[in-house]
Amino acid sequence: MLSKLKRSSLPVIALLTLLIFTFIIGCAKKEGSPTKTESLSLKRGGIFRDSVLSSVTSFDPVKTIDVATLRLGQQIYQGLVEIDENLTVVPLLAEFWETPDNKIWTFHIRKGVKFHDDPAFTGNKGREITAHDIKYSFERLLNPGAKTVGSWIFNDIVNGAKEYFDGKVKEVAGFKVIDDYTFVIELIKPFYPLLTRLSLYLCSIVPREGIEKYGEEYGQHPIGTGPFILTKLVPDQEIVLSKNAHYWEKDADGNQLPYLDGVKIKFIREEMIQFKEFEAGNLDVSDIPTAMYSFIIDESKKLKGKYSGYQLKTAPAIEVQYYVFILAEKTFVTNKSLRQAFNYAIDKESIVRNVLKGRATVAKGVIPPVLLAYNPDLKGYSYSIEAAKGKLEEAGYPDGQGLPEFKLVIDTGVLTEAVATAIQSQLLQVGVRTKIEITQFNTLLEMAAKGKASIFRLWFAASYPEPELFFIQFLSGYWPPLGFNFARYTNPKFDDAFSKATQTISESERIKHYREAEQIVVDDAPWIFLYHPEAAKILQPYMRNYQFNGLQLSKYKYIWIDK
Amino acid sequence: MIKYLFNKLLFTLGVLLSVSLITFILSFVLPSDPARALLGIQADESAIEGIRKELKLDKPLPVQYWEFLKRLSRGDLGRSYITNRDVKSLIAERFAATFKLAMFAITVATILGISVGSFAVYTNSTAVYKSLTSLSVIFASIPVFFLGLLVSLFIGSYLKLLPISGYEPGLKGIKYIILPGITLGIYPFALISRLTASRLLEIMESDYVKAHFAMGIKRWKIVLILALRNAMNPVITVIGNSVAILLSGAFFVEYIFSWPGIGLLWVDSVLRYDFPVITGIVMFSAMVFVVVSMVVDLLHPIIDPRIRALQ
Amino acid sequence: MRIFTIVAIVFIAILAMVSFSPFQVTGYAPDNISLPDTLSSPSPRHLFGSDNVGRDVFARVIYGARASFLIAFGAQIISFAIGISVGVFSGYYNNHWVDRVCSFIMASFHGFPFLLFVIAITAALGPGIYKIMTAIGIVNWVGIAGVTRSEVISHSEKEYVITARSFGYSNFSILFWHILPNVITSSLIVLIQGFGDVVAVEAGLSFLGLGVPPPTASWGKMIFTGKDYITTAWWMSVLPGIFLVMTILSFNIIGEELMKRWTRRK
Repeated sequence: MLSKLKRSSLPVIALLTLLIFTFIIGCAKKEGSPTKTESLSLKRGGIFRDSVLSSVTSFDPVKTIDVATLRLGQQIYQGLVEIDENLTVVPLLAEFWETPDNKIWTFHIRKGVKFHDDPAFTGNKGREITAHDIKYSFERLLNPGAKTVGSWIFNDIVNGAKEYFDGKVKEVAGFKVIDDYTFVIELIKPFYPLLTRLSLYLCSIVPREGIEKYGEEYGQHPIGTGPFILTKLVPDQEIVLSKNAHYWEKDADGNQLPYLDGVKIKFIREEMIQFKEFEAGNLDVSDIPTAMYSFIIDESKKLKGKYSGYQLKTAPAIEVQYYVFILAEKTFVTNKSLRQAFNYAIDKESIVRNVLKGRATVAKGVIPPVLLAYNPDLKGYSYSIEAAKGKLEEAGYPDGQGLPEFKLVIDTGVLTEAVATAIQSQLLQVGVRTKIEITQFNTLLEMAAKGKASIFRLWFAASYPEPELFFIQFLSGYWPPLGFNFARYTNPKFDDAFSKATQTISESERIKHYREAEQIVVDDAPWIFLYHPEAAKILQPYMRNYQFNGLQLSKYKYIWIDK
Repeated sequence: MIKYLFNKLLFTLGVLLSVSLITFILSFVLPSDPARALLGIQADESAIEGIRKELKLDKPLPVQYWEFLKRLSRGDLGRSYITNRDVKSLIAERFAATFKLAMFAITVATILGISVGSFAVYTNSTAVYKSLTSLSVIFASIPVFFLGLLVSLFIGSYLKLLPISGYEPGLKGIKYIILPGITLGIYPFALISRLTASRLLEIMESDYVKAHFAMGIKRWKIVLILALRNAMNPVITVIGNSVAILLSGAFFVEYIFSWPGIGLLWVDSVLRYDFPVITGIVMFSAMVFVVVSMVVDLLHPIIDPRIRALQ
Repeated sequence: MRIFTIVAIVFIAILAMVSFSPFQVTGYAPDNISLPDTLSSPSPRHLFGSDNVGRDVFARVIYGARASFLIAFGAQIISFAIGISVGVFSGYYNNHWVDRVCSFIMASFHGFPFLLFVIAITAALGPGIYKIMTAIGIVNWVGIAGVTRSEVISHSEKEYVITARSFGYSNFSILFWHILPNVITSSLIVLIQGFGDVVAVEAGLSFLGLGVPPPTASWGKMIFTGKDYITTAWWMSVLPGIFLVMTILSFNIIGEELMKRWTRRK
């Protein structure tokens, strides 16, 4: 049969293939994308052309946490508060709030805010938002039936949340609706980061009618109160947002927001392609690939050469990149000197300068410099081969003798690999041998959760500007699979300092406790602390008001196009 | 005849069943937990348990396989773990894109290939023939991804003539298909032009053709009308072969030019362990192949009278 | 074309020899990173420039040949072993259930796009030179098997086989001593022509990130890493690419020459 196929019937096969495929394609039901309106003409506002590097599939706020969805979702939805360009919490759907003790929080909801128009509402018109919607949305976040990924936000801190989550009670006692415009959150104990948690996309307010009408498909038919409405969603290709004509917010001069008519977002797989499209004029904003960094930006952080006509926006990311030691592995768990040796052996300065081309700052510890709790006097591990060798000897492995070859697991990426190769080489200089294994990111997480190798490359990017999030990774109760303390670190002194920090009301006292906690962690060296990256975006010359902060989120409502 | 058909049908079902079993087993061999993959790392244990129950992952294997077969017979390929899109329409869409690209590439390759090959013989100059053949050999040795990179760089970025990524359905989308289409088509072009040229040359040497020369018929007429028709047989074979090559090799091109085709979908799903999509594509390809070969087997006696006689 | 064949053979030979000792030739070890020296353009110090962690590109290009050759030979040997065995058995026992099963398997492999198959297997097995070799080998045998099988079928009907059988030779000895030597040339042709393909496939896999793990050099890997730097440090991608093309070209030329000579003999 095979030889017959090979000789004379292939042309026939080709022809038949053609016919059959046409048949199959014609018969399969095309899944249409929900199109509410299709008018996107260039009026005064104009269309902002952006892109995402990962596919966005659902705008149900309780379900996704990836950066791309967050960025776009925050144009559609709103929460009680938001974070501005200076990383401070400002009012949004909550006009103001009060709390005497960081335990009982009373929020006063803004009047006259309407949901987007949608067939889910009677008369197709969006209705006004009330405190009942707040309770509904927050309880949904705790509802396992909704397949939420955000229960951790309220689970441990709100009164009655745990019971509701476990299915023992029908509602959360700590979420109280006093009247249509007053909402109270009652916590178990004082927890000051509540406000910043409320700014998260996960805490967006959704209407009951929408969830009930669309069910599983709600993610494709989002209804929010934000400045933009979703008009087209083709996950691997393009997303289109258009202006919410009934948006409640006005700017300082009384002009109706948003200024834009709409946003067109293309799905582009690669940084370089995105940048090239930007250069070609097909995108209005783009990330700057690290490979191009030193060719575009000079030492004074200005655009140079043929790029000087564009605009540049940079923001230090609230992020730390590190390699984690799996402390369950016996070589590491009791051997602090060994871990410290690793830290001394890495020339982070050189990596940041030469491999990352200055696009980051060296990390002595965990907290990035942009947060208040950052400690400039933190005692870290500066590069020193002698110190490394000394620690190795102290650890019982002089010149690395007796050490096994460590498996260093990283995910795919040119930069990641370059950094790993540099680290591998530097470790070799003190006698430590490593083997690099590249795998997909999901697999890496699985392996890290199960402790399948010794060292993993990870990073942590905060979703809101609080040191608290960084430190959760070191808490004793947060070992995987429940939490992301991948190192399986535990130190009661640390836990103590941390809980003191979250419960203190005075900010300066809090910072002291955070710094204490950080020093404890750095001394114990469960990580190889590496660097804090810097985010940068390049913009077309006619873009105005593109706000961008270290959380990598931006508000499209203020953007306008000067053409 | 009926018996023959029946056997073929059984054979087909057999293949499909074994393919489904293999894919199903594969999903348990590959190191991943679909429930966790769906929800991401920050999900807590009870949410994951909930998903597991829903996907029936807690039932024993044979039960799961049975469920799988039941769904399959209804034509339900499930929804993607990652994007939650209906697998069937996803595959149809993506395949349509790959198909378009492959057809474009093969059309360009065939037209240009035959023209260039014929031209090489027509000019009756050894230099032209040799250089054209050498060029073809070189082109056939460039791996398609490297070629795509170069094409994308020069024509797309340097000269800025054509877009380097993106896709638009319908006729408006033609500017997006040119660069990837050309990249994909160069290898078949090389093969076709070379084969056309060498076959034509052989035929030109035959007595049959020489007689026509003696009769005084113009060279171009001989090349075009007479020789070409005879030379086509192996060329058609190559074209047919190329279709298969294109459908799979299209992957690199799809990757470089962000062309949303099925090769790209396959790699994405394999790397992300998106089992419903993986299974869907495997079943789809298997089904297509089996159906096509079955039809071909049926048509064979019709086309080739010798076989009919044997039966 | 004779000249080209000679050039091709010489190129491959030199490359193969040199690839095992890049340090001697270039003065740089391919794995030596040098962070202050990243992304430098070609110069007398670094003939082909340096990459994004300061390694000498020329040394890596030569060292990369080693990975490509190893994988190509390894994969083809595996393919050859499997292909010949399956082809011979199914061809000889034509119309037997053995043949049915083998044809069935071959047909199913044939239907599935080769590259996609390899990608899936590599993704499952993980990285590593030997794993990649195996992955390609176990998918690529079908071509050899098919050719072998049809040759064996046509030979089985020849007179000398029938004669041998009537003399009482066992099936195995007929297969091994008589049929195999005649059939082996066609499969060898497919084998050698396949080298170029395997090199391309390996490069492609590395391009996807599924290839040899760092710090081992492989051309596909270098092209992949370098593609982000193609406008700023073109030597990282383009130079390994050129070597890749030349190697594949050389294998193809050699394969064709062999085909011309061996088929003419028949």
